[in-house]
Amino acid sequence: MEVVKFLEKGPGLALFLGFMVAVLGVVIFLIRRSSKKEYTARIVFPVIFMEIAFVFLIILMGFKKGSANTVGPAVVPLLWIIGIFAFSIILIVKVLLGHEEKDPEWGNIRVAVTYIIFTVLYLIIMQYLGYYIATVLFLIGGMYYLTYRNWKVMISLTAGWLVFSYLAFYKLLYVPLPQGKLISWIFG
Amino acid sequence: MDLLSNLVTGFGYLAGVQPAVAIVVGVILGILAGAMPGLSPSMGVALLVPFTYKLSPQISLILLGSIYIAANYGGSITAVTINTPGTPSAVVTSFDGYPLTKMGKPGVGLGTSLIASTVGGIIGTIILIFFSVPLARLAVKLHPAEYFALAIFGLATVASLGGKNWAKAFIAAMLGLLINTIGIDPISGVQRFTFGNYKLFDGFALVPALIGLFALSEVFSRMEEYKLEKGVVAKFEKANWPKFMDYWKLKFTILRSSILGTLIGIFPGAGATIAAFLSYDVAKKSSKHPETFGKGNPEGVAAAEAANSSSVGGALVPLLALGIPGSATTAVLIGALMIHDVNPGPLLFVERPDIVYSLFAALLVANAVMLVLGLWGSKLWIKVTIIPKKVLLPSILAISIIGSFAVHYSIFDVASCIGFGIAGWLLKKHGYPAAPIVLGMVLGKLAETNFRRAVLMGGYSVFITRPVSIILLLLAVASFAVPLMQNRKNSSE
Amino acid sequence: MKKLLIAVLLIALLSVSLFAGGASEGSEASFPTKPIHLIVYTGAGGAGDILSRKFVDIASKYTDATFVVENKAGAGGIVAMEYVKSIPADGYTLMYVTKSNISKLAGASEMNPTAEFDWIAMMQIDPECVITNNKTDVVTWEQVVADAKAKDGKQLWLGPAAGGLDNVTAERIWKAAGIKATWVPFASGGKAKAALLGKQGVTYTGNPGEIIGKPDFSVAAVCLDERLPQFPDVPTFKELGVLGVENEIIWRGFAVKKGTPDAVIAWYDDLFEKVNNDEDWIATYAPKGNKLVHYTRDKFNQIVEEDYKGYLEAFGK
Repeated sequence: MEVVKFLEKGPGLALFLGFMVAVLGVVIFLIRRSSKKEYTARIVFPVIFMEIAFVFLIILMGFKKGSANTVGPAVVPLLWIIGIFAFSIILIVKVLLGHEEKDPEWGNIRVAVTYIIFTVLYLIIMQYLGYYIATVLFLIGGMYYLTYRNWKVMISLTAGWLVFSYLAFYKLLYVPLPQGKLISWIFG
Repeated sequence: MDLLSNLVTGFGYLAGVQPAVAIVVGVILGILAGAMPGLSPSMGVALLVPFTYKLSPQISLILLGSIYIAANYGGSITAVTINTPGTPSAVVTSFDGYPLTKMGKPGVGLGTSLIASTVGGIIGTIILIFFSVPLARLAVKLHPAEYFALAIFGLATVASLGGKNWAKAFIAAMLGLLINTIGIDPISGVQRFTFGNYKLFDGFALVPALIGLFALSEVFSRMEEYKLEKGVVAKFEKANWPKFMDYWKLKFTILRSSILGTLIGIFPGAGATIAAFLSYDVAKKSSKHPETFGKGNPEGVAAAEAANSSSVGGALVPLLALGIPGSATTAVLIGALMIHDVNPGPLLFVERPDIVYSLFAALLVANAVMLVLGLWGSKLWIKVTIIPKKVLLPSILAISIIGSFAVHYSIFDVASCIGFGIAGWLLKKHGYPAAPIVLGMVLGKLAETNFRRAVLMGGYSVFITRPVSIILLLLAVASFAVPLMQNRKNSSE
Repeated sequence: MKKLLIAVLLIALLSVSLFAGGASEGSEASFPTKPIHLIVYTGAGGAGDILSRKFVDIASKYTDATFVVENKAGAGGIVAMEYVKSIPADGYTLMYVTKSNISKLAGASEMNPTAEFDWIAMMQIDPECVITNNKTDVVTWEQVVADAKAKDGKQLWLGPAAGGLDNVTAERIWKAAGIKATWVPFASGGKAKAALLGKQGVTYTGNPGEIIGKPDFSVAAVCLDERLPQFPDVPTFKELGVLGVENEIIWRGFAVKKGTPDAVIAWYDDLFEKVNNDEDWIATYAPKGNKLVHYTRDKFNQIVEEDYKGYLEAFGK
């Protein structure tokens, strides 16, 4: 069980997850070159689920066993892991038998991904410049990116949201909104 | 009758200015907290507790009780208008509420949810008033084996949630269940799948996951469509508020869901979300047109809302009659009472009837106030649906971020919310529904801990030797198998 | 683009000014010159939160300092402790602590409580006790022992999570009394009490204050040297011949990060002493079965160290 101890956290975990990603890459590469090319996502999703279940399964081997008359901590998660494997295999078989539709078309994926990046940046900036500045950047920048140009609405909405979050969350509900590391460093 | 005269005294107590203000303020704050993703009813109540220190115990309880009632309704507003359930139990409301909005009928969704919530809240309160003592005695007798059976019964609803995509629905539920095992195991105390990170000791918090799976994933999907000039609804007709007859058609659904919701609310640890899922499933199965559920059937909205609002009355049963908190919100209420040196329990009815009966009266009045404010407010809420998406979508993201932060004041929660959002978007796009993940996360601990607790207390045979447990388990098997078989029949035809 | 810049600048200015209220000059004339944050490891509305807010309420009678209660819930206090650990030891961050935190640290963390924190004020001693349902046949401690022997390990003791303070206390009581039983963990103390009311088990391990207002519950025995004045009819384990569990208590108090200046701690000592003698404080907490005390850092740190060692031993570490 020393192996499990190594794989369950820190560098061992990173190595383990890296390996799983590599396996996924190989799987995608193989499907792309096969006759099921148009079903890539239909197959990749169950494969990802099985990989997640596999990671959990390996870690689960390190759990202590239950004594007589008790159900140990590993039993129930193991049940769910088996379930994930079973249904993933059913889904893959359905694709191979031709019972599945082709992959859905991607829409305007660029906008969606850009917005995900915006949201992540928002969270990061919030920790350095504080909640309010980050929110201003996010809301104004976000609407601007979507080609919205009504400045009256953009500014009043942003200012209104700032005042609302300050009064309702910070003042009334005592939610300690992030002050920002840089800001508190400057202001002491 | 003693009870009735006490109740009359209770109503008399409400005559002053202070109680009236407490109810109105409580209902307004409750609706707002409920509509705000991230502020669940329990948090709405908890965050207001410090303000009640200086108030009398009666006024405190009236204020907090009004918030509790109204918050359960408030969650449905954002669920219907922008597919962002404000509370966990409103997930179920969004199943049919949001499709109604997309069909250009947000008024039907909003109106139905308000009426069902009000009626459900009143029925729950009436059951609380008349039957709290005997029902509470019954509730504590419920053995872990029976809780386990109840959880399995709830999980069986996945079969009907999935429809044609049943295998995907099951995978989604299993993922939710597996996610739910992350954290310190409540039975043995060992760490499971925490990856050495103390932030995972309690597992993933439900509310940020919920906001991610529903609100964020919806935003990302809309971005991908990139038809952002208009609102969710291009325009809606003025006259699309339901008529009295439309509501009257839902009377049996609302009545049945309210009773079911109250009963489930009584059992410590079950709660509003399970009540909503179960009564939705029951409504769907007993409907003549089950195929219209999930596509904008007002019955679905009514079932979910009546159940989650009536569960409030149920949850107060063990609190008042036994002094035992059965839900997160009632645990906060008990704390608030103890500040005022009021100890809930059977003696409370004898020693402080003023507190108990003024609360009962206040809950009834709060439902009426909620109806009035809700009717007026709905005219405002409905406008949300015509806000251009270029403005609405960034705003939903901003609301979601602050909402998931407010749960534990934790950046980790916000990050996991974004993670769930991305996953939810990709899953939904490929036909994996998000609702079973939530169901798995809600029911996973209930099922697992009660299963293991039951075995600890009486061995494996308890599940079949206890009549309630075996009946519930058989019902679960049936509700599991029937939709699957119907699917098979439909697809072979 | 120009408009965008102006708008961003304008609102940035507004948002910076929102902070100006919170930030103040950093001169160290005398403690405290800015608000003190009291970190609470339970959620808003929880028992610890209520106690902390009561403390703040009373403390503000004796000092002009502003206290801000901040909830950092999660992982039984580890989230709060990790947070306090990450903040400068200037005394402006005070932390509400209980003995439960120590059992959590011993069980699930590598953090050493006395190496990271200075435990400056222990304020309450709440003895552990065994509670029974007096509508059953097993009410007194003698009956519990007889029942346990008859059931040979299958007697059910209900309580909160496994490996927690109550669980360890129960195991120590079993050992001292020479009995065997099964611990049935529930999601919370409240749910375990519901199950005891439903006669699903024989005892519940908790504190005497938990029976107030609940006529079906009796305290079988309490873990103390002498009887509690608030519960004069309840025997102690010592009287009943069960020795070695007189110190099974839950304490509540306050800690700061290790390295906080002595002058600051002296300021706190003075404040805690005043709160300890406050009528409102006594009237609120004495009737619940607490012993109200004020142990300062030397004694408290020693207690924490011993408790920590005891838990490490109990968990076989």
